[in-house]
Amino acid sequence: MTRDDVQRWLDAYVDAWRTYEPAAIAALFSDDVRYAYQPYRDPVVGRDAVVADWLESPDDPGSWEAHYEPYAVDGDRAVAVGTSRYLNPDGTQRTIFYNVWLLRFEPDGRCAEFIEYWREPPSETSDAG
Amino acid sequence: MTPADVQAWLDRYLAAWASYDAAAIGDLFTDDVVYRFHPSDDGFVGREAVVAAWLEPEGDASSRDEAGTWEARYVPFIVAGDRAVAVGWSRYYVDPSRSTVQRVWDNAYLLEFGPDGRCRSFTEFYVPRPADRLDRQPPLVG
Repeated sequence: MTRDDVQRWLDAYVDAWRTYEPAAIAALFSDDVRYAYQPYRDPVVGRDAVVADWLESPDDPGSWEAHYEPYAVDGDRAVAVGTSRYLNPDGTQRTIFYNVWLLRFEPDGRCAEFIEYWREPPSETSDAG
Repeated sequence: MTPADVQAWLDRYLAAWASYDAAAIGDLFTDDVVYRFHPSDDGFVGREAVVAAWLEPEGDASSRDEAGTWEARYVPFIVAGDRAVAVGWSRYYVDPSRSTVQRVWDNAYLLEFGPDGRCRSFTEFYVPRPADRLDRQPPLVG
């Protein structure tokens, strides 16, 4: 994968998130993808399961904004960083998540492994360390 | 940087953390390093500021992690030119007997290195693990 390939995949991911079109979601992932919402969580396994999981509790269009870009790309691996902002009805920011995605791709450019690290800023939570 | 170079740097990072030796900490970073404990932080700028932040967390040396009460493991997930991303965990125990885990963080470090192998940009993403997942082995890191 090149950096441009990864950026295109990330843009397609955000587009699929916006449309919730099953074919667009499915096109992102390999048959046997492992998709983990946090590093400590058991992954959702398989393309169909990921599509079903995305469709289970969709975010309303207009209620969020997201942008991701590659931080590093090497062979079939990439790491993307970015933010997802969730908005109040008046358009002000409700919360922001800072994310890192660890990605591994198949030769056809579909993602076979997706491990997300996400969190809110420390000021919005009680943890430290 | 090669994966072996990055692993060696991570091992020195953990050794410096354990020793709180100012020279060992300082040797990890370039003069003009930017070090963020969280991606939204402005960050500490410069080697001396980073060493001070390590030695006196929040201005208080007693806030250091007590020897024997924690362990950590980090490995490179990707290395591309002068950039790398390391992943791993830091585990804290209630006391040095290490019989009871207090909490675990799953972390990713975004790293950028200078030509001499010192780190010039460090951004940490740390994710607190829920209490019912403290024993789970995360993927990629044993």
